[in-house]
Amino acid sequence: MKTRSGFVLPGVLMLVCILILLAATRHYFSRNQLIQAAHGAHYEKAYHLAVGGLDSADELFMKAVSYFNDSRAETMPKIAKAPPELLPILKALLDKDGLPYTRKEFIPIQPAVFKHLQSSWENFATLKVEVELKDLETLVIPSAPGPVSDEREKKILVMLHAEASINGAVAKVCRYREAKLVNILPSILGKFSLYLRQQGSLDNNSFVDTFAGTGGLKDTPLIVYSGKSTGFASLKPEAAADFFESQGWIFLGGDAPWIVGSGPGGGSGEHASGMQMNDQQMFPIPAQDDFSSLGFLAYYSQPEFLAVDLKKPLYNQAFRDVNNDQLFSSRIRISGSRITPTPTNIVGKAIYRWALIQGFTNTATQKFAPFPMLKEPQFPGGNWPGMSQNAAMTVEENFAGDFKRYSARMSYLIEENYNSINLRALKFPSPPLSTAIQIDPISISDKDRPGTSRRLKVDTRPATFIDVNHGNSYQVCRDDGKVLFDGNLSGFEDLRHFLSKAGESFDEPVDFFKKIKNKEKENVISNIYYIKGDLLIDRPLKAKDGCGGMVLVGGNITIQNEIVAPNLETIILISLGGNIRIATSSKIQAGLIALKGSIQAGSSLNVEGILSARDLSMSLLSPLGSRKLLYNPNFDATDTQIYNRGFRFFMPEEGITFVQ
Amino acid sequence: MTKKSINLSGQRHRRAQYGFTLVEILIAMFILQLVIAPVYLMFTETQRTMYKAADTLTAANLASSLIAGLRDVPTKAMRPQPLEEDTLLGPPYQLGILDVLPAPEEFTRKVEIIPLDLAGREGGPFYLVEVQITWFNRKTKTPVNYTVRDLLKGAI
Repeated sequence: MKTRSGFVLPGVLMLVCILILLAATRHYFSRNQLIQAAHGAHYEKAYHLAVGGLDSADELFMKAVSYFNDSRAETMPKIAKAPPELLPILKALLDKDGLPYTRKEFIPIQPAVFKHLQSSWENFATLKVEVELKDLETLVIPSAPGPVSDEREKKILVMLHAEASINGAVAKVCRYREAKLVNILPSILGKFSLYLRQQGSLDNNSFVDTFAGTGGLKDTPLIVYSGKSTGFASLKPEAAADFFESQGWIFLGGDAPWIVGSGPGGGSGEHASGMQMNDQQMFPIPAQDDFSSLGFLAYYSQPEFLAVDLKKPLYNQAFRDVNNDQLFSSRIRISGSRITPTPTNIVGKAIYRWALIQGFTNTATQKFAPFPMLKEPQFPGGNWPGMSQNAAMTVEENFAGDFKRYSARMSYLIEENYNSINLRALKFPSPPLSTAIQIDPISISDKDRPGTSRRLKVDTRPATFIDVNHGNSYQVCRDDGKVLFDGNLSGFEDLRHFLSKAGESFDEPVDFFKKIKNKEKENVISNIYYIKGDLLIDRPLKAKDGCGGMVLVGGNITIQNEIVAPNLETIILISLGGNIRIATSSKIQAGLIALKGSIQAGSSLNVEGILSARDLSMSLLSPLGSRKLLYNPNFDATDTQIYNRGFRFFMPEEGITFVQ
Repeated sequence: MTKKSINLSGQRHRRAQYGFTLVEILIAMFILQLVIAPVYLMFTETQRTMYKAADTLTAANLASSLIAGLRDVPTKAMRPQPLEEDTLLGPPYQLGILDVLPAPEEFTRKVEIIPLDLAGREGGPFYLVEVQITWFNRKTKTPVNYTVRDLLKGAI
């Protein structure tokens, strides 16, 4: 019984135990809380360190990408010309071709700002930032005949990983973007300054030309300058192939031949056809002709542009009986202008038409008497245009009444393979001119013939620059041999595969303009954009920092304002299913492509780039206006160096950041 | 007899059950005295630890909230800032503009902003931000410092 009275001791002991337990528990949790708080505080520091590192690495990466996207000559080659702060990252990013490439390893980044983040601060702070480039998918062109895919064009996942650690607290932050490595050159279209799949509803030779000055013109032709000018007879045969290879070419598609009439452009050298040699040739009268005894007489040949004036007294009505349509000249001057001839390579069925004035000349008085163009039934009887019956009979007697002998010396219209006019640009040791001035490609010796093309095959044969380049199958290659196109150029109209390259897509043009407006309120093209409906360009568009880009439009494009590419960067506007209407005389430094529709030049035209369309239509324009197409050599996809410069690495400015 | 004896003895026993001997009380007090002091010390130490943890967390939050506010300053408005107490900051870094609450009385928050370029030279487009939080340990009254650094570019 006595022991029961000592209950106080166990009670106290129990209380002591409870107190100790409570204290220990509280102590344990508070210590834990402190550890957690300290860790949290360290983590907060580490997080900010990681985010700061990520931001600076991101800025460096974006700068490297901008530099890569800058195609200006002063940035080439990329590594050699890289600014010092970008050199390490560019070396790590780019392969031997100068293109970013995906790989398993991460690419470390060490901008100098990291030092400031870490210096004289936490002793145990570390920061590591790396870039990961991962393949997502290749942008493949459908395997139909036509353009050939470049396996280097692909979608790439770009991930920046930043890991910072402070006193054991580790923060990992990631930022990712989907990027596209694409070539902004419009495939082989970039090789052609003018690419027309068919002639369209308008007659090609509908330009009513005159020698009587521009005041007499009712319209202005389109002058196509396809690259460098040679002047006349300044090209050496051995350099000719390289010259023609690097010019912008012209494709004239369709089954009907394109007869390209030469024209004087109203007597203006700016409007007149290029490559028209106007050198007069004199020929002694052969013994079988009656007037061979008259030493002061000679035959002469004088090439001339086409114009209805040739029917008039000024030209002795030499072409009076020729249909007007045959004397109209082409609306398009394919080889530049007379002042600035730019010989080029015509692909397609193209024929050049010009007039040859021939007749007697009195070498003493320098007077000329052209012989009219006659049909054989007109020859006898002396009823010739522009001549009295007596004079006509005298000439008939001179040729002993033989029309064949007369026809070799009379004025007539010449139609020749268009490319053969390129021979006029060649500097032959002694020009092998025939009596009719024409240079016959067949008569050219092998050593004087320009070499064949390494970039174009027509029906498996290498194209020449002086013959007809027309066939059913064309193969266009880069100068390194890589095939860019294999198929029928006339059938190339579907450009929907370009959509896979688009980096931004818009339902409405207003969103597009909102997107491209920069801080300086300029509308800058620096990506590949897709707009679903029509696009009206009523404000200036611009390329900047050597980047350029492409605008794909589902419907029609109307251009009412200038498009400026300060360093001839490549800006391309493509209407996938509609037309392109040019309603401005301002400069358009861009490639305009509407392979399923027309390019409509409603007013003056001043394009520096390329034009590609199903056909071309032009409204009548005052002769004071001008229509000029200057080829931008930066579009030349067949030049490997230029082609590689066309690659861009497009990605959204804002990445998605998350904490791992 | 038996009943009485039981009752008697029961009375005796009941008296013994309800009382403590002096020895028992002395022993109990001794044990309690041995234990109470360290337990009390333990409780106060725990209190200090909890304060320390709370202060550390507060400091971290104070630094983060200021950096978050600074992140929203437009790039155009960003400018260098020598080390300065947050309440003395001028535009665009005024706490009201940044929508950041002032630090509690016990804490001092200072900020320094240095423009840097990617090569680490002074200039831009980055701003190295250093936020320093200082407070005094509640018991020892010793100063405690917490510093966070970040790089800002300014908001677009």
